[in-house]
Amino acid sequence: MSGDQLFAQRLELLSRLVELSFEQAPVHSRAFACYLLKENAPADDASRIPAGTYGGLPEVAALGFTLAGHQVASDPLAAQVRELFEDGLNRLGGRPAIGKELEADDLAALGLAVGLNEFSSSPDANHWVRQALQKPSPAATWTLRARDLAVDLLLGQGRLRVQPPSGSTDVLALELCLRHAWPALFAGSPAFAMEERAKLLEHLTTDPAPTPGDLDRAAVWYQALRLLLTHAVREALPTVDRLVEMLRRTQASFARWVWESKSIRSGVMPARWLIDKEPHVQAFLWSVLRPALGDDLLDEESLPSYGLKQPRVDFGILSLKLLIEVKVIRAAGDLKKIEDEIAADLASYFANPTRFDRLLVYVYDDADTPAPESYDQLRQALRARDDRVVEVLFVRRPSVMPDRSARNGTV
Amino acid sequence: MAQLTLNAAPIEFDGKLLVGSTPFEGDDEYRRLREDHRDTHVFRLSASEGLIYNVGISSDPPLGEVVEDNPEHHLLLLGKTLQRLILSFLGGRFSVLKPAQPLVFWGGREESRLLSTAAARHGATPPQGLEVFVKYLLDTRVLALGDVATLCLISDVSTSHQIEIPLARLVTDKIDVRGRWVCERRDEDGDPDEGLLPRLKVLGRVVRVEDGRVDLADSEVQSVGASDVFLEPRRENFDAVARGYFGAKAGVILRELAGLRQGVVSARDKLQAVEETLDTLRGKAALEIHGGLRFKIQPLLEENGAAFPGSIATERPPLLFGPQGRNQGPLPDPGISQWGPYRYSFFSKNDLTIGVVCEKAHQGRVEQFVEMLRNGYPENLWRGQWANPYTGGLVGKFRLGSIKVISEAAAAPTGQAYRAAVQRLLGRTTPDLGLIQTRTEYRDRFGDQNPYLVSKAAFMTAAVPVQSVEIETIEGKKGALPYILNNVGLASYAKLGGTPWVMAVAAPTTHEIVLGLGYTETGHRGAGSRQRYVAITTVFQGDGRYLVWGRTREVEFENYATALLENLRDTITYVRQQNNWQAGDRVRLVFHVYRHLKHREMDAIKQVASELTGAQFEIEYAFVDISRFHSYCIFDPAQAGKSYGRGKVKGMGVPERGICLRLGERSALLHLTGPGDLKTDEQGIPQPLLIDLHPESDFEDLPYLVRQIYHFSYMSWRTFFPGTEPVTILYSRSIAQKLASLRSVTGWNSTSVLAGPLRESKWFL
Repeated sequence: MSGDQLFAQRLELLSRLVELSFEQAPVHSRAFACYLLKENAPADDASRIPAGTYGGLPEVAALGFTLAGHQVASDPLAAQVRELFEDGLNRLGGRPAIGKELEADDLAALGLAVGLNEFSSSPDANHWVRQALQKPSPAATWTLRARDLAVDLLLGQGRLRVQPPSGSTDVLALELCLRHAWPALFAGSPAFAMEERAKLLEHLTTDPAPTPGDLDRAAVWYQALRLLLTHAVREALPTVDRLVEMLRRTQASFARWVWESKSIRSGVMPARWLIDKEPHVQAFLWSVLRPALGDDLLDEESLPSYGLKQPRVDFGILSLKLLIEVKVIRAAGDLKKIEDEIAADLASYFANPTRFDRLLVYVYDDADTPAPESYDQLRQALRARDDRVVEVLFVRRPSVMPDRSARNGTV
Repeated sequence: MAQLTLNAAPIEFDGKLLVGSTPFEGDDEYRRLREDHRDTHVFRLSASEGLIYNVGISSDPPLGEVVEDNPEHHLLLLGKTLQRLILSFLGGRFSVLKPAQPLVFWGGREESRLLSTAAARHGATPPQGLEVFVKYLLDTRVLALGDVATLCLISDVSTSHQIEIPLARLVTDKIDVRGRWVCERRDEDGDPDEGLLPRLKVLGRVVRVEDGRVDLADSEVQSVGASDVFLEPRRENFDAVARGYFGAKAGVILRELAGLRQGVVSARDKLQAVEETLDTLRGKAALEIHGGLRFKIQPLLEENGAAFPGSIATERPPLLFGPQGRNQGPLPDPGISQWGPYRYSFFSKNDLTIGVVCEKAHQGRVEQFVEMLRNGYPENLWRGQWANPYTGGLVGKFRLGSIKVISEAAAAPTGQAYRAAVQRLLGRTTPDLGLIQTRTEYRDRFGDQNPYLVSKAAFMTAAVPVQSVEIETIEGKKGALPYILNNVGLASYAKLGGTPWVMAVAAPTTHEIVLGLGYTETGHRGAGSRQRYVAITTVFQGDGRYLVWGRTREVEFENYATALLENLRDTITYVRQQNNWQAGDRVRLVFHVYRHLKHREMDAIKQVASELTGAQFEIEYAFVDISRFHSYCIFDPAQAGKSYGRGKVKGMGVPERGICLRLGERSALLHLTGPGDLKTDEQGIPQPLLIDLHPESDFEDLPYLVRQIYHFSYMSWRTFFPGTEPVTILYSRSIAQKLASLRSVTGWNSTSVLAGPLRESKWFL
């Protein structure tokens, strides 16, 4: 079985488990699953708002998740949910054993916290939930991190800054889901390392899956696997945006450009990576793109020409239907020339739109007196001519590289 | 759905009904009227009209003002009349045990004498007076069939023991009667109807028989003549007498008898016998009254017929398990194995001690049993087809921490030796659970003579809940041991104060409290020393689940109304505070009782609830009678049964668990023992529960109440199997039984269950 099939099967299995476990699960488990999974959650009867009056803590916690999941301003149900939530909080606050009850249920604690976080509740209601959550964490359950999140949401104690103690699949999966849902709260937390992601992916696909009746774990596993796979797909398959970002970052990569003033080994000339003309820029970009794109990257030798007089384009990326045209600025006046050249060739670039329908212009500024204030002008001009020009990137030559007038070959 | 059949045959009327009426002028006058015309008329009082209606069952016309009327207006009177007509037909032909409501009689044919038939097949004859009869039961009921009130004849068949051999003769014939209960046939009125057997009256337990006199214990009389009394016709007495008379052939005859008995009580045979009974009545009985009205007995109600009662759909309730109580599943055993008991993470007793008291002679085997209870049935010993049910034991399956075991051995199988052993153990430590090894024979020992009761009283006085296990169980079939351990583990966990599982409540629309009343009888049925005790169990709803609140002790039956009110008062106060009821909330109070509450009791209940809550809440009431004692049977002829053992099949013709038939607006039959719930193929067809909603109730959603009863049958922690009654009744009876039996132990005081650790323990499982 291929990796793709394995992942697809696992996702299908977890999705089915969520579906199977959903109907009979406690109301706040259902609401938590809906909050996590959003449009991937099983279809729930939207009119079935938890009542709050008679269902006690689970229903009020579910109202909290429901409230947090609604766009309060626009959703007509939100006002009703808010009212029920507030009434439910007041009821719970008057119960003698509510602290103990809340201590026994991490998801209920989170539901109340996210609900409260959505609006400023009455001070009394706020007060009792804060009081109840101030106690040290009780038994070490796999959902303890949800309680930590609740505490940080309401009390800002910084519990999330501490790494969760257990590295079990459940704990890691929940951590990933919570980080995705509340990224700002995890800003101060240690990074979720790639090794942990890899380990989690392995366990989510090979460990025995949760069983029907375990909605919390099924939903968390499902969401965590989806997040990991989405991330991996993004990493593995370039998008135009990602490619633009990668090429934009070539500017920063010049920080360690090699240009030795003198040789550090006798008898060997100093190392100097000179970029002096367009083919040099092309070679540089090839070395950047080729490892990431492999055979998906075509150079001008492999690309068709568009007529006897028209030049070949420098690169093409088949999967993105994207062409890359490289230009070099040697003097300030070259900007106008570049605009004219590109404009003249635009029609021929997209002669076969089924193969290529987007263009990226990579401009290497090698002028001794650069004019960055004109970059935007060129960018806007080109994009105004044709919206298939997705980006015009400008990259200044490495600072260690001498002016064009100083490249006489002497040290 | 299978083609169900109900043992009820609708009655159609043909001809003219002449009915008479006279004004009601008091009970004495009414009684005199009945007595004066007992052979010629049947009467029924209509209290609301202040009239006594009557029909003539002989050549005499009805009494009083006579009119021709529609039979549908007089179904209850005609029901009594039909029973009377059948009684007249039976008179002289059959031995009638009870003349009406229901009418009960023994079969008259040779095949109805099962013991004689069994003995004859092995060349023997039972002594005069020793027999097993086929017993027939007939009753009339008005059912709402397709919303039409219909008179039905209910018919049932079972077996009945007869040991009508004077005790003097049994003694002469060397039958040991000591310790057995005796009775006499005596009509309370001293004027039995012709053909009617006088009732059996239980007198007491035999201490000795000397000089033609029987000395009795547990009796209102000290002695009786040995020629005047018989052994009580119970199964164990019957078997003992049969063994005494049949000698070497007894075993084979009793096995033959068991087969014949099964041929009467099994679903298929019973249905056939019921139909034959009705056929006989159709063909031979004169079912006609003065004026020409004839009763026509229709075929039994079958599911494909238009008149068959409607059904109420039921399904298993969702149960909650797991460290924080959010894991859900329909089956308790897999639920606990997979996720652990409900909220086990917060169970406070993780390091606990079990105190074991056993006989010295059995100590080794008992300690092995306890070790398996603690750590599970070893995988290397498990030979079953499915997964080992008790993997991990209390530590693994029930997620308890360390368990320490301390033991004390009783030097002898006596109450005194056991009491000393318990005291030695309590001198060393106070365990969290006492485990007592007993013997089957202890069941028959009374009070201080019973090692189990003595030990239990000693432990519980020290606030220690008790689990017992008989040595015969430990040494029984090896294949059964893991299942026994599983159930003992479950009950032990609950007795320790743990919550194995709870039942989820979906989207409740009211606060709800359900109070159940159960009873037990001590002494002996019918004997002077008999005493009835009741206890109460409360189930209330909160935080999306039902919780059991069993803080009650036993009370004498006479005081049950007071106890019920006290319990109601305590429960409302507690639950109102715990769930912080708010003004304007809806509150539903449901009462599960085994007998009709009286109007004044229901008024008192409403008064108490009103006093406690003022006018703040909208309170609604449901008074539900739940009975196992009635004449209805539901058959499922298409049911092929369940395979078990070596090629055996049990439960053929028995409906599935959860089948529920609606007999009227306020009445339903709920079947709680399906083919898979039966233990063997020797069990007869189980009876459904008859559920009646009292008209005084203002919450009238019968399907809701029936489903609630069905769901509550899954809440018992006594075993992993679903119960045959709701936990409200089952637990109450169990509390009453356990505490009533402890009353016979010197020094016992049941108030100890209301305080300390036992308050939270399900000690009564």
